[in-house]
Parts: sequence; structure tokens; C-alpha cells
Amino acid sequence: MAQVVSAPAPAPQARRAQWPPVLRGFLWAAIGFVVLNTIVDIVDPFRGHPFVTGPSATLGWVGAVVGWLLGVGVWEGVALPLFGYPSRWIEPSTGWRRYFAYSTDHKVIGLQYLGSAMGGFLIAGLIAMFMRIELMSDHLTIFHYPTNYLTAVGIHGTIMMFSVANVALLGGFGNYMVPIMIGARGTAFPKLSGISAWLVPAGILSVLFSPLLGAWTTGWRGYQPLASQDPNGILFYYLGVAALTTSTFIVALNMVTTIMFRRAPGMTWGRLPLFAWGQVTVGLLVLIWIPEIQATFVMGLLEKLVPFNFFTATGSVLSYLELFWIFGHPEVYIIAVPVFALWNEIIPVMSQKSLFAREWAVIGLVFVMLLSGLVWAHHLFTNMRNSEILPFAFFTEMISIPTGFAYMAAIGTMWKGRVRLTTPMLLVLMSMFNFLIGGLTGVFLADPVVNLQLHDTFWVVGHFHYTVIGSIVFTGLAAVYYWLPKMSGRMYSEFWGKFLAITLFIFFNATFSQFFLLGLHGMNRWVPAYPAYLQPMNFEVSIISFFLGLAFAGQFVHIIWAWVKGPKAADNPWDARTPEWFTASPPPRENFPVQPEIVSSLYIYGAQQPVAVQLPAEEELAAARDESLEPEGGSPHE
Amino acid sequence: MSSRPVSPVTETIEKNPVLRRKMNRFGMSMFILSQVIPLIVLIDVRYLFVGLYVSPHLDQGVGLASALFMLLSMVVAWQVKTRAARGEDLTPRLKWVLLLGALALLALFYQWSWRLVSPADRFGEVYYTMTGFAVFYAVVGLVGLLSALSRARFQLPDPDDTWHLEAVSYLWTGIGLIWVLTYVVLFLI
Ligand code: HEM
Ligand SMILES: [Cu+2]
Repeated sequence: MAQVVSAPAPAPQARRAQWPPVLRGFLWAAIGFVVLNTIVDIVDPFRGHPFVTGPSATLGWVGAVVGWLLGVGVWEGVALPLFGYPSRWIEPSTGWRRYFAYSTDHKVIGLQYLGSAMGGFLIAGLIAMFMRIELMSDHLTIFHYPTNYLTAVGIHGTIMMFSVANVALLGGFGNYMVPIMIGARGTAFPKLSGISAWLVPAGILSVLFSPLLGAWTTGWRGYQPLASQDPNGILFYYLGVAALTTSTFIVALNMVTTIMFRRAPGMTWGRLPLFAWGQVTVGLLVLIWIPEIQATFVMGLLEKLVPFNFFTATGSVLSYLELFWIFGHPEVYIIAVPVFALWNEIIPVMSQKSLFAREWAVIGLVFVMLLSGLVWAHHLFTNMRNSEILPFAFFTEMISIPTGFAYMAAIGTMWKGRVRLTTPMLLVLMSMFNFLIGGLTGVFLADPVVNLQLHDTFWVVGHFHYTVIGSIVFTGLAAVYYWLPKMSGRMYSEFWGKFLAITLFIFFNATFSQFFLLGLHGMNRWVPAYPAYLQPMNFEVSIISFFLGLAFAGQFVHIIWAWVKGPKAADNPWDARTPEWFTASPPPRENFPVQPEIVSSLYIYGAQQPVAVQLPAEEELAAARDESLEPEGGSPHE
Repeated sequence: MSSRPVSPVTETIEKNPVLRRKMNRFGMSMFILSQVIPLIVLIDVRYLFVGLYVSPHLDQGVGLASALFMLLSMVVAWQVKTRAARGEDLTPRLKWVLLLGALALLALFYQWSWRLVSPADRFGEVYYTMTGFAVFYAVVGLVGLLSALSRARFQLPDPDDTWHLEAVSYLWTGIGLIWVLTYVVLFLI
């Protein structure tokens, strides 16, 4: 416990000068790629002898990822100690450099995840802008072949789903906040978690540079048998997604175990913060469905690489679709469950009112999780018999009931509360509105007759952008503003925060509500060229979407400004009652000076509100004494 | 203050090694359980595509040998695991686990190298995919076993810290289970 007060960094001259970890990661990745690629070339020469073939690139990629992970610090931090070799690796507890290397501090890891998610968002967002440029006219302009456009759509969707939507609230705020919110001084598996954070950039770069191996046309789902008919770019899709999903999987394993075993004394399940509940439920979804989709994607990869014929006309074409969507719909709730949880985390604080019907909010999360496994075939109505459609249509519409619980708890809490319309609160309200539109348009899609008309049109594109952006992006931004004073110790500008939120809301709705209309008018998905009568509307939607892009950019500029230069924030600016607000901002290496204890519910507001989090005073004194005795802890953690 | 009888310090993993051990074990159990899911997908695929068919080109003897090696390896690993959980250090036995595991792999590679089962027919696709998964896990597990053996060269046995030993042998047991189930599904039913 000695390094609670940040220890001075180890004397620099004692360490051999070495490459910055990220650069070394790139170097070792390149070496790993070349070595394994060459070995495959030697063992398995290919007609015409190109240096990089499908199989060689696949194994080369494995070498690259291993090299990358070792290079960013896993070599000294994990590999050497794992095999018992002495390692002089000491984790720095301060300074910006630790964000660019392997780390075991869940707060550093959380910010690494958030940084990767933000990077992924900017990249995939930029690609979306190119897609909108293309759609400004009814024929091919900036993309020279339809396959190029489709590759762009695929990269956009893949990066957005697997490295933004799955990452921001799980790897990002999950890692950073959940341990503090449950009063823990670390996570269950800090080393594993430190490794997994670095899989995200590896995955993003693999998907981004997939066109180096050729175009792919399947979109974010890697549909077979289409994928097997494409050039080799799809290989880097499957591989990159493998890295990203593995990362998400590790986050879930770590979060579930942390919440099970590292809750502070007195943090009973009944007192557990809603966001932590969200992480447990979503963790179970991830632990079940991510291995499922990984197995499917490995089969997809082999189908292309060997090639196999599982999913061609001689095999079972529908099987891939089923295997994908049985993960694909729970994926929606992997995204949405932490969002619902966050609404009900932020709203009681901003209304200074006890969470309404807390049990029902939790039950809602759990039932959404359970039902989400029963609806997948609603993505396949065009390929099904009527008799099979009915149960799936039914369950799909039923899922709106537990979803409604989240709304009910949120609205009930605001009811007659003293709602403070701060930026995070505003963004949460906007998120609730947007997700409602997403949900309502989804009810239309769940109706088989309508679905057969709207399938594969921009109506669907509008629907899922309302659900996904409406949930993860708006609420993710709310979380950033809400916890910014915690993470950085600084405050954003309330004026700019609100101004940018409103701008974003307006341009978001102006863009995507028109997607519904485009769809109704007959605009198909996955087409860079379309009937001329749709051109004027598409042109105008594109123009608005550029403003939407600017609005996002504005948010990021403001957030970074606040992080670096914002005014100093108060200790507990929102008068929140969850444990993360009972420690310094930003929190010290082990979160709390001493092990806190939870003595009452975290969601009771009002006259007789007790202070729920206690830091035993004797222990605090003892800790202070320890520190003066032994000024620096040797071991990086525990 | 809380009126709870238990002293709060024992409720955190920092102060309570038993709880820490439970936590680690829970994590590993969750991991192993989650890896049953790909197996379920593969078993599904097997029955979907080839039903109960077993190719006559498969050498049942070699398959059985491979599975038996793994089964033995598993049994020893399980011993090491349960003893490690009680603080006993049976690291030297890991050499047996390793040897038997390697034999299981070699037997499988031997079968592969004949290429009697064609990867281009339906059964071959299923066969190579399923065994390929099992091999992947086994390689990961071997690295784990090697790490424990390598550690023992540098560190004296420590009854308070046998988690690493427990972890790798537990993991290996899970991997062995996947291996044996794969065998049963491919060769027998
Ligand atoms: C920045 C604003 C955004 C714009 C202007 C935008 C625009 C688009 C467009 C035009 C398409 C292609 C439609 C087609 O031709 O089929 C698309 C697809 C998609 N977008 Fe976005 N998008 C944005 C943000 C996001 C976000 C934040 C996410 C998720 C986190 C996302 C997820 C997807 C997915 C999953 C697809 C489907 C890809 C596929 O068909 O495989 N988008 N988007
Ligand atoms: Cu769905």
C-alpha cells in the first residue's frame, strides 16, 4: 500500500535507454510479420511466388500482433516474469508516458481504451464522410468501383461496432470507473487487462489497412459465402475483429470477476451502483456470445483461406447468417445495457432524488439480457417461412417491455425532482429521445409485412444509427462530461458543452431522420449508385452530415481543451454519492488512501441522507505512518 | 458504522489470501466454461454437415491413442491442480503432463500427415476444423505448462503462492477435456 502517495519515478539513469514502447511495438510487429510470413512462404510456396499470400499474411499477422504486444511492454511486464526470469520492469505511477505503454493500473487502461475508441471513432467517422461524399451523386465519383465503396462501408461499420461501441463504455469507463465505484483498489486481473487494452489499436489498424490485401464487400458482418468470393482483404477483417473481440472478452472476464470479488466491505449486491450492475449483465452477454462469434469467424476465415465449403451452395448458406445473428442481436444489447445503466446512474445525481424503482431497473437489465438471445432471426425474415417468422416477431416486440423499465426508472426519478440541466444530463435526455426513435422504428421492422418492404433500405440504416449513436455515442459523451472532473480534476465549459450538445442533437436528427424517408422512397443500402430521382435528397442529407461531422469534431476539441486547460473542478461537483467521488481527482494509484467501507445505500437523497462511504480514520493514520517509514513500494501492484 | 460481525479487513482480497485464490479460480473457471461455447458451435456444425458419419479413412487406433494420452495427461494435471489448491507443489509432475500432452499432439499430427482424410470433402472439413481448434488450445496450454516449469528453475516452492501452478494445470485440464470431447464427437458418435 506504500505507493498511494505517488512515488517518485525510478531514477532514469538507472535504466538502459530504450525505445519508446509504442515505437518498439511497431518495430517488433514488423519483424514478427516478416518472420512468420517468410516461414509460411518457405513451407508452403504459392504459384507465381508472391511474397505475401493469404496464408502467409494470416500467420504473419499473428506474428505481428504478438510482436506488437511484447513490444509495448508485455515482454518485461508479463512474459519474463511469467517464465520466472528476472525483470527489472517498474511501472511508473505518474507521467504521460505510462499511457503509451503496457500498464496494470485500471485507470490508465481505461483511458487507453477510451483513447482507442476515440481514435477509432475519428477514423471511421472520416470514412463515413467519404461515403456521404460519394452518395451526393447518383453515379460513382470518388470511389472508382462499387467494391471500393463497399469496402469503405465495411471498414466504417466494423471499426464503429467492434472498437467504438463495444469499447467506450466497457473497456473505457468500465475499467476506469467500476473498480472505484465498488470501492476496490484495483481489478481482478490487472496484467491480462493491461495486455488486452493494446489489442484494440492492433485490431483497428488491421481493419483499416485491410484494403492492402484487396477489397471486401460484406459489410461489418463478414457474410459468407460472399466473403470467399472477394479478394484477400476480408482476411484482415476476420483477424482484426478477432483481436477486437478478444479484447472485449477480457474486459468482461475482468469486470465480472472484479465485481464479484473486490467489492468494498459493505458493498452488498443491493447497494451495487447501477453502472456496475450494467457491467455484470453485459459481461455475461459477452462471455457467452463473443466466443460464439469468434468460432464462427474462424470458420469464415478457414472457408476463405483453405478454402472450405461450409457456407457455399453445396453446404449451408443460411448457417453463417444464423451463426452471425445469434451473436448479432445480443451485440445490440452489449452496446445498450451499459447505456441504460448509465442513464440511471446520472439521472438520480442530477435530480438529487433517489433512484425510482431501483429493483425494476435491475430486473429490466437482466431480462433484456435474457430475451436478447431469442430474437436473432428478425434479421432474416426475407429468408424464412411464415411459421418461423411469428415467434421471432413476437419476442422482438416483447423486448421493448424490459427496455421500458429503464425508461420508467429514469422518468420516475426525474418526476418532481430538482433536475439540473447540466451538459451530461442534457446528453442523457437526448440519448433517451434518440434511442426511443430507434426503438419505435424497430417495432416497425419487427412487423414481418413491413420488414419485407424495408429490409436492406436506408430505413434500416436510419434505425440502427438511431439506436447505436443514440445510445452509445450520446451517452458516452454524457459519461465523458460527467466524469471529466473526476478523471482530469478539471471542468468543461457549461456553455460550450450545452451549445455543442444541442448542435450535435440537431444535426444528428436532421441527418438520420431523413434516412428513414430515403428508405421509404426506395434508397437501398450498400449501393454507391442509385436511381436519379433520389439524388437531390441524398445531396442535401450529405451536406447536413458534414455539419454533423463538424459537430463531433467540436465535441472532441472542447473535451481535450477542458482536459488540459479547463478550470479546476470541485471535489464532488455534482453532489454525487457513489464511492468514486470520495477520493481525490484524479484518483491516486490505488484509488483510495485506505480501504473504504460502504455503510448505507448509494441512492438515497433527501434530508436524512447519510454519508454512504467511510474511510476508517485509524487505518488512514496507519497508512500515513507506513508511507513515512517506507518511502517507495517496489512491486508494481498489491 | 456497520453492525456486521465480520471484521471488514478480511473481506478484501488484499487482506484475505483465501478470497484472492477464490477470485482467481473463479476467473479461470469462467474462462474455461466460456470456451465450451466454440465447442458447442463446432459440434453443431459436425451434426449439421455430416450427421453421424465417420470417415473410414480415419485410423481409429491413432485417434484413440491420442485421446488416451490426453486423458492421462489430464488426470495428472488435475492431481497437480487439486494439490496446488492445498498449497502443495507438485511441479515436477508437470513434466509428465507435458510429455503426455505432447504425445497426444504428435499422434494427431501423425494422423494429419497421412492426409487420408481429404480436406476437400465434407467430413474432412469438419475433422480439420475441430482438431485444429483442439490443437490451438493445446499449444496455448503447453506454453502455460512450460512457464510453470521454467519458473520453478528460478524460484523456490512457496506454499503461499501456488496459484500459478494451479492455474496452468487447471487450464490444461480444461483443454484436455475439449480435446477428449472432440475425439468422442469426431471418432465415435
Ligand atoms: C458520424 C456520423 C455517421 C455517419 C454520417 C454515418 C453514415 C453511414 C452510412 C452512409 C452508412 C452506409 C449505408 C450503406 O450504404 O449501406 C453507414 C453504415 C454503418 N454505420 Fe454509420 N455513420 C455514422 C456513424 C456511425 C456510428 C457512430 C456507428 C456505430 C457506433 C455506425 C455504425 C454503422 C454500421 C454498423 C454500418 C453498417 C455497415 C454495414 O452495412 O456493414 N455509424 N453509416
Ligand atoms: Cu436484432
